[in-house]
Amino acid sequence: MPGRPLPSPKRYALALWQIARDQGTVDKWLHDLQNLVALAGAPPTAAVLDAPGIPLRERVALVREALPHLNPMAYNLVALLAQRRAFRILPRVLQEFQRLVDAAQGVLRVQVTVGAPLADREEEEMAERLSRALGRRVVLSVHTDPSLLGGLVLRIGDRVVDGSVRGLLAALRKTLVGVG
Amino acid sequence: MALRGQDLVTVLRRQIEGYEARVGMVEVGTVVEVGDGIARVHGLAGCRYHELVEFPGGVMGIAMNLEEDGVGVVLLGGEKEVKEGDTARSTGRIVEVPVGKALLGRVVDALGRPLDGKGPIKADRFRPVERVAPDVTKRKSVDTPVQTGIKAIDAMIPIGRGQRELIIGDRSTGKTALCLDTIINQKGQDLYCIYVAIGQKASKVAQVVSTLEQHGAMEYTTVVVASASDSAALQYLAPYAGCAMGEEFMEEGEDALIIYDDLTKHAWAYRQISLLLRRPAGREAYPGDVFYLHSRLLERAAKLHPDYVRELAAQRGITLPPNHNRGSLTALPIIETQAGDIAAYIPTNVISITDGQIYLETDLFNAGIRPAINVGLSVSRVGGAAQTRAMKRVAGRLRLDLAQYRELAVFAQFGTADLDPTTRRQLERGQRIIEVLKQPQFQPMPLEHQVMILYAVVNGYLDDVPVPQVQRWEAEFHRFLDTAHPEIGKTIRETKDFTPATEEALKRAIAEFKAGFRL
Repeated sequence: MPGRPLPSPKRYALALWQIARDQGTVDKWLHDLQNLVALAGAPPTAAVLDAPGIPLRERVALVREALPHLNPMAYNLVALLAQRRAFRILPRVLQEFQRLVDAAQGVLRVQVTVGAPLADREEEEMAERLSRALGRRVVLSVHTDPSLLGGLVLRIGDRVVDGSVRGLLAALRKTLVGVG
Repeated sequence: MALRGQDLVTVLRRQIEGYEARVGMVEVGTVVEVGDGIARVHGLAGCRYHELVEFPGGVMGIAMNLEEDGVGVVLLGGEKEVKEGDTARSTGRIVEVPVGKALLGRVVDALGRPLDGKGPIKADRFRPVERVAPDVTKRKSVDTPVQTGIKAIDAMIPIGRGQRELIIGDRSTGKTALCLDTIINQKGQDLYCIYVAIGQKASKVAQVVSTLEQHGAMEYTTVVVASASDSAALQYLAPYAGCAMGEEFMEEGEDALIIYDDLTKHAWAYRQISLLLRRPAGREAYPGDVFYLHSRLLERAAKLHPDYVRELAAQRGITLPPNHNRGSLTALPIIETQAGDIAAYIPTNVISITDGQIYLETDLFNAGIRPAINVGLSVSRVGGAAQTRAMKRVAGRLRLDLAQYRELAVFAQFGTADLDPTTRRQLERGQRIIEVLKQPQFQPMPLEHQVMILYAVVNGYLDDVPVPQVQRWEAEFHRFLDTAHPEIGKTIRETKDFTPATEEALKRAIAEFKAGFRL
């Protein structure tokens, strides 16, 4: 892609997190970033925010109008992003910000995909057992995917544990049919 | 082994019932960009360099760029099946290829998959294609020859088992032909051969395989192919895959020979991959580690120390005889030059890595001197240590005689009548030596024949034969010796030596032959 390289989402996230931590506004920032990501991703606004022809003032004003209740520093962020025409990096900034918050709070986010819906107690139990096993406070986000046929798939960051029936069948198939 | 339907069901049932399901943790990432044979994957935080990455549909790739947020993966085929958003998982393995005797007689691709339609490869072992070369303590100096069957090479630029000898020259100078003759000459010998074709026309490779089959060479040869239409990744891998196969033989205490045809195209493929991975370009747009590309490949060709070979065998529960002196991998890399420029970037790199070079020249080839070896510029740094005693005795003066001849050769243009007798004799001797060193393709010559004809020409027995008749003289000489005095050749072949007694017998046989030879 021609032009200047995009600014680093990690550095932005780190800067924002340090501000949030020092001012004690972590939760507010999280909320604000989520709103910004939603706005920047929605089709009508997405095209405009980074558009080359539209002046800075107007693009910032657009955000101010759409999201009037952000914390004051957030509008500074918006101005900076508009100047660099880098609204695209917002989702990764949010992701990284969340990661920094989690790390500071000792939280581990685990995505669980199950074949069939869990009972209420099952979800709590799972969170407890994982917390004990991993030594961090585990926050689960659970999705259901019937194509798993049963069992579950755990995802922690980049690491995946596939305990689904579908996954085990695929492994069995590989063993029987052989490699190459 | 024919399985009845019932047996097959029983086998399957046993496999399914006995299957132990194990759930492990894998690392995943998401494809953000794919094209030109490269996939950029976001995630894969713990991925290691050169790790094998798997995409949906079984497409594999090698992780070659480890960046802050993701990995640049070079795809090994199947580029059209990978889409943005696909999940890539790391496998924890490096690329491996099947190795062992199951590969003899087969034609395979850079990943060891069969290309000859003769069914799957039933290999019992796999080896990673990348490996650290044996260190100094595990090696021994080269002491056994590789008989190429080509007079010029075996006499003056001898190659030993465990050596790396570069074959360098312009296009169509006989580089591949030289290597094929070497392979063909190993029939009935104890050297396994591997021919790696990198970036060549598929038709040329088909011709090579056909030639090897015709001469019965395929039974001890493996052909690894990454042709011009294969992806750059496969062309990049092919030499390392072949080397892994050769290493298997070497570490089993066998001797093997590997030919890389050619490393110029290998460097091109690596350059293509590096530029697509956006690595910084260096001289001639090659990446900075193009030297390492070839040095790590060629360093894996070695002669192993017998103690180390014995140790490896013991690990497999095999005891070797006390005088076992095998366990080597000889490499013959080929480099194609442009307009004879051996001082270009890649040629000078590989020359500095190998233990000598055989330089083939277009001018010599066009003048009818084939093999077109420039003896002056060619060298084997192993030299006499890789020659049998028989050959050393007759070939000792050959290089010197030819060098002196070359210095005087310019005078031969104006006729030799006006020169003093010594000079004239030197010129005429040189001309006949050159005639004798000419050799047709696909006719490698056994050691004893080489020794006998070289003895004859170096000691002046052909001085009275007109140059145009020399080749006929030689052909009839060999036939005569095989029929009338087979015991001389037999002695040389079996003892690998040329004693004064044998010399006397040969002198008498030569006199006998000359008496009966009609010009």
